Amino acid sequence: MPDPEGSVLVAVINSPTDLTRVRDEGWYRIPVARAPKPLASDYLALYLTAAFGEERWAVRHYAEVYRYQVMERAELLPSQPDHPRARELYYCLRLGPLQLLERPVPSRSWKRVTFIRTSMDRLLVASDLRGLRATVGSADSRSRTSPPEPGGGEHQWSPEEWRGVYA
Amino acid sequence: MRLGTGPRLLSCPELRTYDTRLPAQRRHLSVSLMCLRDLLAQELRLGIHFYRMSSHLIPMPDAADPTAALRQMEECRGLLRCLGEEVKRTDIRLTVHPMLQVQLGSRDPRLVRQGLAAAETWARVMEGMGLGPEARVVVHVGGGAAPSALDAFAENSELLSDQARDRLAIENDDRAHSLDDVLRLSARVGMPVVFDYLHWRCTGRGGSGLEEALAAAFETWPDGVRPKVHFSSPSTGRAGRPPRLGEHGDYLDPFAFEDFLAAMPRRVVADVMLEAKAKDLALLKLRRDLDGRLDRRRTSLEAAYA
Repeated sequence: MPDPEGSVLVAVINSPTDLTRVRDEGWYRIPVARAPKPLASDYLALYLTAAFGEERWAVRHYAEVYRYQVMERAELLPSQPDHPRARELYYCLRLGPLQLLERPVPSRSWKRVTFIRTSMDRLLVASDLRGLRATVGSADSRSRTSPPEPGGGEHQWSPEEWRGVYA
Repeated sequence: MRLGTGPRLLSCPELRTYDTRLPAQRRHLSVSLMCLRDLLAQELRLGIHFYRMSSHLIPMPDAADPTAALRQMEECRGLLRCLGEEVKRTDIRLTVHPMLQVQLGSRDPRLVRQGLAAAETWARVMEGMGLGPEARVVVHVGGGAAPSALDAFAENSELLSDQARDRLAIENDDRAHSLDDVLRLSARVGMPVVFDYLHWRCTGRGGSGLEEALAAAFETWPDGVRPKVHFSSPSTGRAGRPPRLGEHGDYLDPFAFEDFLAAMPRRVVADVMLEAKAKDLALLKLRRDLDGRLDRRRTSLEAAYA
């Protein structure tokens, strides 16, 4: 059973490959330069974007965060050594086993989601993404209106509308 | 002048810091470092550039697994460097006050070993972050009131690496070791003195005024390294319970602080760590209290004494 008082960071997964990495390899990445504050959380929950077909636009999974590392993208993804951001630094969140939420949390009105900071007790009972909104810091400050930063936007976290541009 | 606070920030209680002494709160060092990153971000939002880290933030070497702390520090090299870059970029001064862990004046070999290990570990963390000489590990003499504690401190500090010795600063106590004691010790061991205002009042002034006391403490700091001082106001008790002499109050007396600032040597800029139970709320209140009283041409308390 997850700790109901534990803090949760909801982050975006917008490719099945990244979800496979989380499930099979137990890690998730966030660019250091654009990471939310606060970031430290007991759990990471995953918001699935349009790339997930029937399962899209909902938080369905979470995992416990065990520890953090800072690594270059090329170390994390050695198969992409020539990626434009290969030398950029990323926080790598090392995760426990991926868990399915008994009740997925759909987003009925927001489609542009990046990071939302919440708590596990909210995540377990929310019926809509709006119900996750918490008051801690500004981790959810991009979730409604912020445009993508010029030249920024790692595909794993940027709003899906711009996915084609910033992948 | 920077005003500082920490480790907890009451303006944002959701931001936590783990206590590695407690089994239920034991986390990998990287988790504590990420919590530190979040706390520093909150400090910056409040315009605070001086932070006291929790002395229990990092796992200490222990008998059960003596290499665990070193192993975790090695695993966190990238994270420490990244966090240090952020600290330098945003001009935050970091210090730590492991007053129970480091008691080099003790004659108990177990306490001495523990203190040496803690000082070395903190020095390694600061080096790993690439922090300059303003980042300090502030310690008390330890070892009780016996005059021999000063000798023990001097002898035991010889066992430290240069890296660890260069990070230590000695604070005057509220009971055992007065400002005069630690000034004499400082001259012996070459470590600077962190002047604590409330402790200085508790032990008696040793025949000197505040200006002379501050000047003597500031003299112990190396050229180019900004001295650090502690300021607090005494508690007046709570709900009928009388306070212990020297107990910190929730907030800070702005009039006493004005006198404190006025006594600072004119040519030296120091950073002031505020020790109040209301933490950052007390700092913000002090700023509000004093900003309105300063010359209107000056824009803020800290700028006036920069």
